[in-house]
Amino acid sequence: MHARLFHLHTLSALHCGTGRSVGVVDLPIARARATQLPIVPGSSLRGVLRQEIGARDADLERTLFGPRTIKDNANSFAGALAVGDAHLLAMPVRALAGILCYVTAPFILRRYARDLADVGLTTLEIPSPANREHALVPTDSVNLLDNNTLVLEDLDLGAQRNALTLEWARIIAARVHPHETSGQTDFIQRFAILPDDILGYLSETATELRTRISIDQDTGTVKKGALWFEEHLPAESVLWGLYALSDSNEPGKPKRADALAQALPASPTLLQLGGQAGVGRGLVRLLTQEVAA
Amino acid sequence: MKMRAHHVAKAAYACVEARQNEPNKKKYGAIAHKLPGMILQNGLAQATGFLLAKGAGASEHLMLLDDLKEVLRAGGTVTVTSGEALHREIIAADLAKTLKYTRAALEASGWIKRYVQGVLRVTATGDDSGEQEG
Repeated sequence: MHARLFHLHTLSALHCGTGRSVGVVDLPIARARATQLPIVPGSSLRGVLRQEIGARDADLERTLFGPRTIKDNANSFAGALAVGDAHLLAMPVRALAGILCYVTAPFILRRYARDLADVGLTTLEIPSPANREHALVPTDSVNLLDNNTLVLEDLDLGAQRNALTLEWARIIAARVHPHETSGQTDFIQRFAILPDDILGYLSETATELRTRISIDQDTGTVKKGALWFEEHLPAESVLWGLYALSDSNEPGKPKRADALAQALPASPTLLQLGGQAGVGRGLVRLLTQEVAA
Repeated sequence: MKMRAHHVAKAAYACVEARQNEPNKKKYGAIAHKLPGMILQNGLAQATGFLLAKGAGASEHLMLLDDLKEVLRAGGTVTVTSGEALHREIIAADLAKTLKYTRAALEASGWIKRYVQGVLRVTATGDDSGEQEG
């Protein structure tokens, strides 16, 4: 089993939901139970990948995902591809200077660094803001007011320019925009490491909320009761996760994991994930170039 | 020992149930449905400020602000005794208190919304849920 890293970069608002909720939002996005940080469930990504791969190569789909229906034990086998949940790495938040800021936190970076190390990629020391009212930004940040204040949504945070933060911004930018210098620069100049508490708060309150209605065809007005709130991860969010490939388990069709990896969609791949595809939601770039050492 | 959520739910239930015979209960219910979204989209200070401002001409807004205050009191978040005092407390809050008040207000407004649906039977568009088609 070879663990590999993937990244998701949302190009439009993304709604990977959990169905109708009893909470504050009618249709919330999926979150990790313990941290309440947004996730894209591995099952969502796996299903979309199965459809994508199956449309062009039914044999490869069978090898990677297993048979679609299992008629008997003799014909059943496990797929060679396992896809984990994608976790929030950086989220765009409204900023008074620089329009938006891609925020993360030491709590998130520690888990990201662990996964980077697990697949043999370089990692760095993780800097922490001085206290719960301060943020760290790269040396060339465009998000600061008066050179020392970062205003995100309604929060005024003290900010400190920091070289290690710049290095983290570069690491993430290189993975999300591998062939695009302007995309990397945009990300690096708008990156910030926030205190864990502030990031947790923003991940709950600064997601995108869309109000939806349904129109009564006869009257042309809103149907009775048909008004609801949907939560989305905003466009330009970055998530990461692990996937793993094993050698083929398909009886009589041996294939090495490395050969299967070569057959996966070229990175980056444009996918549609989650709900509300008809209204333009869920366009993501899947980046899978990181191969285990 | 009682769970904190139960204190909040009990207070929210009592507040909403007390609105059962209000002549403007449908308008109250429609705003209650929107309150959590309003807090998320505009921030707690703006949301409570909106209820305070609109309350001058439409009392259901002040009714909701007062109920929000009651539920927050029951959860031990604030000790203020009026809706206006709640708004003042919110705009005077420092960063740590803002995080705390916002999370508590989201929880409280979620419970109020739930009981508006379950007890008042008012939908998000201010209609009686018994009149809904389908």
